Amino acid sequence: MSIESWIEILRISLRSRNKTFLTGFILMMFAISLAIIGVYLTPYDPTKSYVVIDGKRFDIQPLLPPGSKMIVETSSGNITLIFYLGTDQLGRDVLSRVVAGARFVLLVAFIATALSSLIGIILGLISGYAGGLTDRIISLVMDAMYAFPGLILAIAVAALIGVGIINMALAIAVVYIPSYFRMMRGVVLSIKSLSYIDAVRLMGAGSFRILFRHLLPNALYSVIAVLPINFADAIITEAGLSFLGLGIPPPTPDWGFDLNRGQKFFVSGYWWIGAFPGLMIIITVLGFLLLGEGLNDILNPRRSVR
Amino acid sequence: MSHVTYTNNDQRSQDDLVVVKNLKVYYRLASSFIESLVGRESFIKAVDDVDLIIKSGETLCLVGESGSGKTTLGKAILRLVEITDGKIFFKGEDIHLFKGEKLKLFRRKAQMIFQDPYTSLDPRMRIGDQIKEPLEIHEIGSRDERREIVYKILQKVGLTPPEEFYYRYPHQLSGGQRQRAAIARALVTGPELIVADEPVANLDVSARAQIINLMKDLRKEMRLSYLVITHDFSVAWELCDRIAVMYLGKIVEEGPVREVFERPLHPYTQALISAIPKIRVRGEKFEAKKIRVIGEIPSSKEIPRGCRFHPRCLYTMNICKTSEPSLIEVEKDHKVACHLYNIR
Amino acid sequence: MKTLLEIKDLKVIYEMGDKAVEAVSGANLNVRKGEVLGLVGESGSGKTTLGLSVIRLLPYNAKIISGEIVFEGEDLLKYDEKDMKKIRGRRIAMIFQDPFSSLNPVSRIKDHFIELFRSHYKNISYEEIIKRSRELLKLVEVPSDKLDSYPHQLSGGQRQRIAIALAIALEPDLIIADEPTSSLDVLVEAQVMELFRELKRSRDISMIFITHNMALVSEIADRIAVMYAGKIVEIADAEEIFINPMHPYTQALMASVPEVGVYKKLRAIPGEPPSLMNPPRGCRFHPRCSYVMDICRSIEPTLKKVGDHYVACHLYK
Repeated sequence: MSIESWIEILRISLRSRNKTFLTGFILMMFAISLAIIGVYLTPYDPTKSYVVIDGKRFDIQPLLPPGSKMIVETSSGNITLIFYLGTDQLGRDVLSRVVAGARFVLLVAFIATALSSLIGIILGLISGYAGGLTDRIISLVMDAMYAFPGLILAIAVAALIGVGIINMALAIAVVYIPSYFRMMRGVVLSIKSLSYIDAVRLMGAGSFRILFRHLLPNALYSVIAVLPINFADAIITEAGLSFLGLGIPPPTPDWGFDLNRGQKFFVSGYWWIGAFPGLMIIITVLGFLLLGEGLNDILNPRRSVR
Repeated sequence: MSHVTYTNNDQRSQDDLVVVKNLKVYYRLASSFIESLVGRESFIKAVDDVDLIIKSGETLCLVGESGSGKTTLGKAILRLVEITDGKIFFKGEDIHLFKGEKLKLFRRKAQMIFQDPYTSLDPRMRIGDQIKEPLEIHEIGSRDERREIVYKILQKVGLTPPEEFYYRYPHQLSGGQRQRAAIARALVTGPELIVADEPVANLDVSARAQIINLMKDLRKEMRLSYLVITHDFSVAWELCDRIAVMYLGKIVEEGPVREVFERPLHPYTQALISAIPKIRVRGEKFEAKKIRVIGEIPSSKEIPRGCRFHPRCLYTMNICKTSEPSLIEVEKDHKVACHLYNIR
Repeated sequence: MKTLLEIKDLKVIYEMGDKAVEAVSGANLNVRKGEVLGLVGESGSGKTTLGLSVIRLLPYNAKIISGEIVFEGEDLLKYDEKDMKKIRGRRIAMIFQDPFSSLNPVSRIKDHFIELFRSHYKNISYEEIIKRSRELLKLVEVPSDKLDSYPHQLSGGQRQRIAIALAIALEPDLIIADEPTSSLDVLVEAQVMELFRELKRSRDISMIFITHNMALVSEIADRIAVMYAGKIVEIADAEEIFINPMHPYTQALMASVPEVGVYKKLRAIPGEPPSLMNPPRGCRFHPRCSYVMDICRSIEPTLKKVGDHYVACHLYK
């Protein structure tokens, strides 16, 4: 599908006045901007628990509540350090960690979604079109994968291949391949028997043309709307993996990881350490979910009769 | 009284475009493991031993109700479905031996128009691009030439101005216009045979006449042969030279259209023709006694023994229950498969 | 003959997004007791919407915005849903094109009858329902052992016959049949039409028979109304309308329909059916009419009595 079609979809969606979509779009843009430019805006280094001013190192006090200020004496005078969202148990600025965390989380989710959709869609195309034994075998494997609860499967794969951004993305991707496969295969099966496919076959077209020029574009529309929803799911899975310690190793900022750490301190009253990363997860996931729902309404409108 | 049988005539006469011999298309139904072990699988005999000839330049109609096998036969002739047995010849050559270039040539010479104009066009492609596609596949003409060819053909089917219709999508066209686009697509490679599967059934009444007239004009202009598949007798009446009536996978009667309508020989044909709704005008008494048949069409899974029409026929004799009648020429050019005409 | 149903100036719209499409634009129509009125038109003519309006089974995005539907003296449009429920099945019944629509795939045939009878007669006994169901099945020539079958076990023709049996079960005053034979094979269609004729003879039912097939409607209708783009353009006796069609659309329609056994030059109606979102000004048929005059382009003709016909056309003053 060409770039023009994507732009066209975006244009129609933005103009549609579909509240779900627009809300989701705004939230999503918020998260994405955070991911892209956020790192340049972090007031403090999210991995360090001290600041260096004029060559002198000042340790940041841990467990400061949101809005706290710290005054340091430097050679140039007294500088006030503000921690809008407080500091965590190691003295790192929570705001910086939240902002920087966006980058990694979204990167992992993006790679995972891209991988799983690509593999799932192509497999679904081939399987649906080929039918017969090929279809049976691939479907069997996919069903087996699908039978596993997502997080468990991701954990199993992550445990196998180890941690790191790419590995995490792979582990999560594996979880979602079957969904794309099923969806694509289903649509291909229903389109395959329509007469325009017969017509193209009658023209003497080869399988390649039928698959990629006719089946894929028509089937894609049903699948596209699910991408954002899947993205949201990937974020949660990523957070889950990090939460369990199977994610990106510290001190790299990561929402799920921070949520885990923060959980322990919640009871003692230091709520901000886990709450803000958790809030970001909710906002981002919600954003993508709404985006996906809205997109689905726009692209696949249901004209109900009664 | 002699009758001529048409089967086993290996000499193709000069103008036989399509020759079908002993064609069988059976579909195996999913059966349980035990059933397949014991060999008791059930088949749907969509086409059950059919002979047919379509001559160059003529229009033959395959007429029948659901389950008659007419669509399957039409698709088999284009090698769109796999056949179980028998042979199909296009211009003297066995189409199942076609490979590579020969197959591509066949695809240029024999095309199809489908029943539903709403699904026979790719909804995501522009009309012009779809009509151009066969030219791309067969590498006919240069880029610019192809566009010209498409414009010309759009003009021929009445989608004018062609420059405008080229860029439209199917959903922007009416049913009649879509069917015209489908016809354009079928014609663009210069075929000799067009199989039209219920070409007007899904169209509005006012579009039907347009398409029927278009098909007639094109036939003359482009020297086409048509195989028209329909359940609607009025369409057959308008378009066809010859008509073959099918029932449960077999041809039961065949002959020139006027002849078959005025003097139907097979009891099934007689019933069908008397059942056609006709506009009654003042004074015309409504025939209280329409020729009826008993019951409804049985499932293709359980085709009756002997003559497959016998359980519903008002003239059943003993022989009908055990022996299948063959298609025999009873009058000039008029064939029928019925024991009533075999008593010699 | 007594008038059973009187439709006056009915207007029905469909809401599509933020636009509204007028599917029926001011229809005036009568059905007399004991007659079969044929309602003929192509898709988009509004004939199905008209039929559904009478029995109030319109889709959720359809709205009746004006007019009256007077049935045996009462304006049905003033009834609420509760009252309409009492009417449906009991006094007005409907037969749909797709027999599967009328039948519940997970209920046996006898359950359909039980539900029907019980919803209108609280105290009727099971035995009584079965007895009546058997009689009805006999009437429509379906073997009575089919009462225990599920719809998918029956053939298309049988399903439609059962739909007819259900429609006449409570002896309604009016039956609306919307393309009742379109999905049936030719022979079965003939049998079902014969059944309709038999019911007409023996039970004197009143019916609105909706179809696009002129030949078919001529086999059963006493009077025929022709619709185009949401408007009724001609009403006349069945015999009359075929010999002497007055409205140009009716004439064009007849000239464009192929008829078995008739040698005629098929004359297609030029142009395309109008978009209901943006119907032509004045007479809706004028862009395609061979007799178009200036007045047709600006003023809509109203349905007027001309001789034995009602015609909506400026040609007749």
